[in-house]
Amino acid sequence: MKSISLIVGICILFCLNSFSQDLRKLGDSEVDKSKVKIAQDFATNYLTKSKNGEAYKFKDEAIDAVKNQFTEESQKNVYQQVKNQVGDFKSLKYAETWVQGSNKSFQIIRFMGDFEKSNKNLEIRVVLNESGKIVGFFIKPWSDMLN
Amino acid sequence: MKSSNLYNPFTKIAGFKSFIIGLTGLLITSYLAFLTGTHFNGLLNIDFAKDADYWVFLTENLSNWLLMSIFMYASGLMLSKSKIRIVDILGTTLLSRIPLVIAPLFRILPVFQSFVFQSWEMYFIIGFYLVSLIWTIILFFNAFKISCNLKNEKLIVSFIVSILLSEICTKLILKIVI
Amino acid sequence: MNKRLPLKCPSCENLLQVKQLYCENCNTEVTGLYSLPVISRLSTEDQKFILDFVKASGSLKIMAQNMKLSYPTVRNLLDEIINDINNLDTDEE
Repeated sequence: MKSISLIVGICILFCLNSFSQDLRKLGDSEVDKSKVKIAQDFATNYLTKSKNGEAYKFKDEAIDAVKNQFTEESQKNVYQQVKNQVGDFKSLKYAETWVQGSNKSFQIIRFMGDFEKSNKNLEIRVVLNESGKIVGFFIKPWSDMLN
Repeated sequence: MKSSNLYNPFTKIAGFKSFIIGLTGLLITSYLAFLTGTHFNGLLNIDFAKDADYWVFLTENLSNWLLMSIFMYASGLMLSKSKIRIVDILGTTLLSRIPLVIAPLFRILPVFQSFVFQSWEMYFIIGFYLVSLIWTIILFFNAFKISCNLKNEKLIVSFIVSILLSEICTKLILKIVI
Repeated sequence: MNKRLPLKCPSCENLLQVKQLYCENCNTEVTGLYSLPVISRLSTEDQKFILDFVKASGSLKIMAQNMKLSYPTVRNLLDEIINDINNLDTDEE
């Protein structure tokens, strides 16, 4: 009786799998290193400048929507929130790249961030479009599951 | 005396022997959890993140085990007429956690190392985890029954209370320490 | 052939008492009404446990090794026997 209930439970879980996204992790040989550099430079520079009390000045590495939203004021607020929770930025290192869709139109580049107060790494995520421009930037707790 | 070694090995093994075997299991589970980024951040919880040093994973497993043992021991002292040995409680609860090695073990396989939310890989790993969790809870129950010599309602109610309190306290303590 | 001492009445399940004792040597019969000792009212397994326990000098550790069971299991068996004996004592009173 117990084992039947368990098997039924697992089947139900499988049946709920109707929301999987078309996301794929790139192998090391597929990764476009120039795009990783764009993402890494942006994330490192923004976090380092914010730590030093300066604002990050965009050139043409991001789309207009990102530049308009990520103003000096919002940059300061974002960094302050992060600092309150996990302390000052220390370093980041590249972790992996995921792509959405078979034509690799969007690239989700994930870095592991090391901060002063936290014993756990945070994820610093930079999303690039097909032209290599930044369309998204996130700082969140690291998860092996891309969500 | 009926005993199945898979669900109730405690009629044959308890005390210091179970402590040593269980501790070995805990250290292996913690190490595999560190390698694969599998957090046991609550008595009944699992999370996936390769984001911390080995001591974090070890602390999670140790807290889960110790808090469950403390609440079981307290229940036994309050409710049981028998003389209870702390080494029996510590050893049998440690041994009960051995099935939890299943999820981190499967995460060694490349296909389960990082995956998308709500993908079949995620459900597979959660399925394995559920199986190991149910097995562990059955073992906890039998460990509690044998080590504290409790029966019927006293056994069931105090077991449920111990599980709930352990879950709450583990989360609180891990939040402070980690 | 090993015969077991009956403890309960086959007709009404009440506890049996000893009415007659017999000497094999001189054919003397003693008639009266005596209660069975508490220990003899326990099951065969429990009686064996008690004998083994005494032979093990009252050590649960040695009992556990001999019975190839864990210490708490043997302790629980002993506690059950103690409970049964207490119940029999209470019934007698």
